[in-house]
Amino acid sequence: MLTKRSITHKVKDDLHAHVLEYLLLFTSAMIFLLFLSLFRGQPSKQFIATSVFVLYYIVWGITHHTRDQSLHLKIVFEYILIGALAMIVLRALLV
Amino acid sequence: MLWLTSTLHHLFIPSHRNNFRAKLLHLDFLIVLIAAATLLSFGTGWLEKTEILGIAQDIRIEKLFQLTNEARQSQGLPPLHYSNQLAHAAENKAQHMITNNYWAHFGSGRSPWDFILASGYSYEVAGENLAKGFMFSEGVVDGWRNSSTHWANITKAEYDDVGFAVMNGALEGEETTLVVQMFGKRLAQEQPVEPKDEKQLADVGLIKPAQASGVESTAAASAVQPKGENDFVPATIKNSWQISINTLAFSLSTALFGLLLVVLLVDLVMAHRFGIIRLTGKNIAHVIFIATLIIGLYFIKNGGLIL
Repeated sequence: MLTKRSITHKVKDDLHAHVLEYLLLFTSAMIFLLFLSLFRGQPSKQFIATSVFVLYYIVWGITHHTRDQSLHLKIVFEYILIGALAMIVLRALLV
Repeated sequence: MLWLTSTLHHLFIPSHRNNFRAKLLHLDFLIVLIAAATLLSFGTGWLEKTEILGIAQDIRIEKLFQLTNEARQSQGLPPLHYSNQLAHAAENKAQHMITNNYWAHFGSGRSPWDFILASGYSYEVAGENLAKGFMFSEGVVDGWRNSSTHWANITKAEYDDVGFAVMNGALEGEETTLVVQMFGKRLAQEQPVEPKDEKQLADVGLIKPAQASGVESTAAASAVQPKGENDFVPATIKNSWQISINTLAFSLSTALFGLLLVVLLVDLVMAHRFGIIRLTGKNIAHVIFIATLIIGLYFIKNGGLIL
């Protein structure tokens, strides 16, 4: 008998399979928010923190998919374009 | 209606028509979103510079005045009166900070009391709140509310008057918006005087203020003769065509990130439901990234305070 797992099971399985990588991603997100808070009222420093976080995210994506053996040029572009979109949107607010 | 449903289905839900990935997440559509975001980013800067449309400041004195008095009234305190002299003192303080490139209550040999006295306001008790880098008036007052020293100034029962200044300028290497709020209570039986030359301060009997939190001071009698001041309430901007650039940019940014978040979640859920196996980026990772940025917008919206 075939059973279909729920979406939450699938997500949990993915997180468990790559627990260290997702932990690193989550930690980097928290560090980014911490720096945004520390640099309140200093938009240029907040923009630098944003740039570093976006760059880290793209590198994370490439590394994650390399270890997952699912790396493809399309996937690399996906992370780069989402990162670029975030940078440009936040630039409108910070610069 | 059918066309709308079909379009939304194509944009949000993976199917054979969009190669089993929500169209909004395709690389070509992401490039379109980047182009739109670029227009937003450079367009808002251009609108500010060209003044084609009426551009409203997002931080407005009348709004700060209204919110300050609402805060006082919530504590059962009487509202403050708006003082042109304290506003003049606040403007001079803001300009002094920009000119001398400092961000502090006391700087470059001047104290807040110097500016207040130079404006012709002889005080029994006075105080100052500062803020910089905020995007909206509500954020400024909320920031002061969440700081015990600034809140103590706003809710000090002894104050009768308040004045504000909102000034844009470069401070410590960054373009920013400064907000200076000056509080005061006139010396007893004294009428307001005309603002005087700062160099005439020397004959004023001034007690050196204590370095108390929230920066307040009491002063002895002044030698200045009182005159009348026309307390006036700042006019409300009524031009409905004015566009608040910060509000526009912030709203569009939030909407864009929100849209991405929704489409990522819908795509993830529907791909699982349909049992689609595909080679794409990890939606969960993208969701974590976008959610972090949405939370980050809160920190970007709120600026800094000085204690």
